[in-house]
Amino acid sequence: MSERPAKSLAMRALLLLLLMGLACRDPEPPPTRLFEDGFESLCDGVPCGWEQIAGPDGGVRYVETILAGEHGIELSGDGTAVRGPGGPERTATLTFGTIEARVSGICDERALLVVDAAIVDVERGLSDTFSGVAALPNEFGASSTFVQLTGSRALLDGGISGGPLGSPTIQVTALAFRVQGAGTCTIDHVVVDDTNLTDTPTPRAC
Amino acid sequence: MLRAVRTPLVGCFVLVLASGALLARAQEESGASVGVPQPGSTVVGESDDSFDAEFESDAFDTTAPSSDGAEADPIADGSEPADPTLEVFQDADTRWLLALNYIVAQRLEDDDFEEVLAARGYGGGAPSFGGELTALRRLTKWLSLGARLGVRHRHWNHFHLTPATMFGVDLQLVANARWVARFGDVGVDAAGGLGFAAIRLNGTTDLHVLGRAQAGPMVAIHVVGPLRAIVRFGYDFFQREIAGYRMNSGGGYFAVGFEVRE
Repeated sequence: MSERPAKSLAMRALLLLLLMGLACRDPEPPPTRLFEDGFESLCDGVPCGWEQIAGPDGGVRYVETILAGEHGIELSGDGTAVRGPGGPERTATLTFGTIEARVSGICDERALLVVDAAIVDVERGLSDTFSGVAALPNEFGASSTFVQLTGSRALLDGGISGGPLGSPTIQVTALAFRVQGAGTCTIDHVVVDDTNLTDTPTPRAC
Repeated sequence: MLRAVRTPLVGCFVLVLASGALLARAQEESGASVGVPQPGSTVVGESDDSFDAEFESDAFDTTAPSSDGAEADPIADGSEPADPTLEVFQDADTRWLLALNYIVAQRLEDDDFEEVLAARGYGGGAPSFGGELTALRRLTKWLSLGARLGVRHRHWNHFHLTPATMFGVDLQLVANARWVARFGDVGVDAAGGLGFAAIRLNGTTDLHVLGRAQAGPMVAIHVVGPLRAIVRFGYDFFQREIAGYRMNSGGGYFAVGFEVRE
């Protein structure tokens, strides 16, 4: 056996590694989501755009979650609430009658988390509040909690709906969390989008 | 991405196995053609003033300990023939091996930590890749022991945030057993040791100590002079529970690099 086949083998292996590197050059655009926040950008010590709108002083804290570099908002006490920014530059087509929130967070056993999203129909100028209640786990887990948010007004009463009557283009103008019950909830990451779209593909590895 | 990585890895794995088998078969045929003598036998035509006699008189004598009490070289086990055409199998001059290689480990599915990151908007982790520097002392003809310093990196992209990263440094003890062939070496490599992993998330770094172990076959191929190309593959264990979730950055690995022998 000469050395030539062996060298050829080594060259092929190197070529395959180079091809792997080339495969990683394909960029991936981020998905269009109605709203997403991981509470990692701070403005004056609080997550940018968020403010306490109800509850006692000190009822809202900015805390570390799974690791020192991962943060969230902790709400303590019944009725304590925060309101955050919307996603005015992001629109989506409402395919079904509901929108969906994907929440990574925890609540102790005495508390539930109410999620409110202020929604605007961009084309018709209608607005409505979509709400849902999330039963978050007691400990941070490897999965998120999905919450269906439904409108407070019927279509005939000026509500916003998708489906056979049309697919309106909507925006989230504000998002709010409220604790229901004498307990504590911590929200680490939240995504709001049309139903079944909150779990859109995450960015590729390279 | 997993498929994109797995396919080249499997391809390399098959290529290395196939070439190893072909080379080993060719080696056997080559050995048979020149008439490999049995241990203790004498090659016909050998004389004291031949090249073989000169070879046997140097530091790598393949005979029993000399009468003056000096110990025989452990690398020369006496089982090899003195035929100069088979000198390559003895490789008696090699004492040290120094290797530098690139390594890539397959992304694993049973990574709880990755799922935790995915719940916070991060994508699937890239295959971990890095480099290794290995120094081996050849103790016998077959066995070398030494140390391996390795670094490795892995990242998880995010659409809006800086990617989360894992950077690991580890030091392992290495046992390397080889069969010396005409084209180079074929052998197995096993290593184990300790290291640390720095998990960087949103600008904050957490340090974690963890163990590492790896084992698998290897091939070293003559390139030029003392330089050889090396290919290793096998399984790499590199995992730890972080924040209550198992981070598994090991898995099947493929390593390619170069080796210098002294």
